[in-house]
Amino acid sequence: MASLVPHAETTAANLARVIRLHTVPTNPWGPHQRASAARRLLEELGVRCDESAALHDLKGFLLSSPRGTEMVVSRDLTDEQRLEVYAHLIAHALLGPDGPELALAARFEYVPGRAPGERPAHELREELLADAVARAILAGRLEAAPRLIYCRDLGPGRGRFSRAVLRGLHRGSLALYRRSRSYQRLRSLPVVTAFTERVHSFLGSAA
Amino acid sequence: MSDRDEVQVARWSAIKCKVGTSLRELRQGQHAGDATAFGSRSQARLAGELEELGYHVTQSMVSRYEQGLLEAPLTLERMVGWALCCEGLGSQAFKELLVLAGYYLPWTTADLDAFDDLLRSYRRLSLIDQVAVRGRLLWHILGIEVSHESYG
Repeated sequence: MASLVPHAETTAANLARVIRLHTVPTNPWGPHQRASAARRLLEELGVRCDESAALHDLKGFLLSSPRGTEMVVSRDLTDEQRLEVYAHLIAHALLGPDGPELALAARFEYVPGRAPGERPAHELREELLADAVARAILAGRLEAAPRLIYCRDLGPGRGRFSRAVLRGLHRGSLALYRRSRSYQRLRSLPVVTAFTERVHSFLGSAA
Repeated sequence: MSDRDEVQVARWSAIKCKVGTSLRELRQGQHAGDATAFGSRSQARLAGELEELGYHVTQSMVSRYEQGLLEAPLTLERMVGWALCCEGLGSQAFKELLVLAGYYLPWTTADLDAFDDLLRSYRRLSLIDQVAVRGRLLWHILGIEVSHESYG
């Protein structure tokens, strides 16, 4: 299955990993190096990146079609902002539709305060969720978001019952995450993340 | 004139009036269900926007193409560029235009809906941003890359 970005789940996981590795205290990278590493990673995973566009109300945008995916970023952004745009667009790719091949679609990242007023409700809902997922990516902890966002396959499970429970828990978590900012904050706490990982390992691993 | 040119010119002669009418309707927003919902592009503005895409089409050429008077065939990429500059563009009108020009767009119903969605989001952008997106859309629709000097 493909979404707005080829291998969106792998791309998101790798982007979070690269950001995490480059922010460890023993080896802190500057914003420029992190933004460059993110761009290199995206390009290696098949996303064309252009950071030279003259944009006005947009910080960047993603275009996807059977011909491929490209991310276009405003030339006026700082390194930190570029990294944020990449994370946001990857978050949109995780949340967007998926099908047998890349779909013709676009996602736009607006400069704060310059988004059009009359955006449809589904677009605003996706934007709020993408904000939370992008924060998880930028923190280098994709696991701070519900698993169903970045991993559709929940594994074999210990049996039919545990698989059903596991799926129910993950669906419930995702539904709450979509609706509640408080839950988004709670879900991103390391202790909660560790707990959910443990529950998933217990119920999700093959017997 | 070579044989190949003769074929192209003969083909263009056969379709130029229909294509011209279709392009005029797109420019004037008449393809959209409610024409008042979409602004009509002036010929001058359309010529300017095509220039920004890297295609030299003057206002007078726009007028003569619309009337089916120009003998020089309008290339596929200019036709698509023209369509993308029109606010009244919709997936069905786009597909019909390309069929007129003899180009089959292998899009399913879902693809057509996705294109309409994309056009709706795209129309909410400022003109500067639309120009940047438009150049890229050409590639995604036809595999035609616009030179970087011509936009963003």
